[in-house]
Amino acid sequence: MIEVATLVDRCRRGDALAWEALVRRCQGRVFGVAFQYMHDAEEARDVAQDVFVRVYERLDGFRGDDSFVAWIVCMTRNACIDRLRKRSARPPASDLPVEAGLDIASTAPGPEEAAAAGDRARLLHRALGQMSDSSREMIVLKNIQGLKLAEIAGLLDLPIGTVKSRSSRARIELASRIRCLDPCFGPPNGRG
Amino acid sequence: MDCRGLVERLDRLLEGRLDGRERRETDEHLSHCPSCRELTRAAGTTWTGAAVEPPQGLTASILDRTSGAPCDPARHLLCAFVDRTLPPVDRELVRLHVMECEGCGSLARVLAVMREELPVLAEMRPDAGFVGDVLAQTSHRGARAAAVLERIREAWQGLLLRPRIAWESAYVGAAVLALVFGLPGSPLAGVPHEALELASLNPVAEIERPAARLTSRISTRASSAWRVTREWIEEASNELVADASRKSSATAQNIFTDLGTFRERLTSEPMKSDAGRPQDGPEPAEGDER
Repeated sequence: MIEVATLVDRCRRGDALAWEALVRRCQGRVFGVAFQYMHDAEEARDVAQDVFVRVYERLDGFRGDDSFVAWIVCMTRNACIDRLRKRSARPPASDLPVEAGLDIASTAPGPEEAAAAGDRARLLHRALGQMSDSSREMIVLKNIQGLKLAEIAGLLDLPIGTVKSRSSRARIELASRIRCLDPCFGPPNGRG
Repeated sequence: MDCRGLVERLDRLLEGRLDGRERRETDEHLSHCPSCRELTRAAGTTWTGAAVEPPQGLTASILDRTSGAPCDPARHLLCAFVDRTLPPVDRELVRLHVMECEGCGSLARVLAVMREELPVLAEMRPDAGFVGDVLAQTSHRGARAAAVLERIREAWQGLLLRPRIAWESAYVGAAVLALVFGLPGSPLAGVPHEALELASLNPVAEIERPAARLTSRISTRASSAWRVTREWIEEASNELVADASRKSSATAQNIFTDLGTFRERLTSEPMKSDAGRPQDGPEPAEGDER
């Protein structure tokens, strides 16, 4: 598989095939982040499209020594915040239609495992939907998208220590909510 | 081994951690020391080493009366415990707590599962036409420049359409004026004062007076320069005329002299030619006729 850095480098030189490959490689991640913020597949799609257009325009401004994934996640997050601001108010967390249009990029080997993984993903989404915006954002950036503490600190303009403690609190909160929703939640092969 | 030695190894005796030699020494001492047998019995074991089970809930009641339940500090460390980033001692302490505390134990299990399953949510599939739509918006020529221009235009329009743009412009203008003219170190700091002074006088007269002075000065300079120039031209032309007349009279004199000489020669020349014509040139030689 071609590295993202190579694709980005070729995109900067105007390689249309590399750009298509980059879009295909990153579309799931961008759409996933957008969905976590917008909670609506259509809106997430619009945001993801805008993000890719913006990425295309600003590829020259991307510094090669940064993580491209972190860069594109930050850009997606900012685009979502902009759109939510234009809406003037965020929808209440309890009304989020988190199960609609959810198509997780699953790696489960068979159909049964894929269905079970889908159920678990929906449960996670429902628990995420019950969290506060700031806690959910921590989970999305740190535990779902895998950004480093320093990257999140730069993105949210917070000290690293604050990010660390908030992230830890958010994980505990999410775990508590999952336990309330499904007291039997555990490893996939350990459930009765 | 004496009684003091037994007291020193009492903890390890209760926990069953004595090695073979220590165990033999302890047994031998306990067999003949009733006070140490009493001590070990009171400490919760017989000298044969069989531990007494503590009653249910003893630890919890002791903790309630002392430090309180350790769940809160344990939960602060629970994420690091699941991530395996705790130092060994802390990790062991949390592990012991999690084994005994049902609430923290189930939380730790959920956290461990979350650690594996949350990254799966990182990518979600948009619909099949997504890539095509993105490529259509980005791949045509000039899309980048057009999009940038459009973005600038939108941003500018958004800026201008805000209701408070007039106030903001006024604030910015006032701030610029204050910075340019109001600061003590500014090169234009004195300009407003001078302008006020000028306005308090008659500005037209103030402007006309130096202008009139300048005009008369220029006029005087110009007339004197013209006078000098005219005199110089007259002198030069007189000299030229005098020189030309001098030269022409000398030339005329020469011409007259030459003419006189020529007339004299003309008057004397025919007599000479009549008398000696054959002597004008040497006689041609005999061979020259060929």
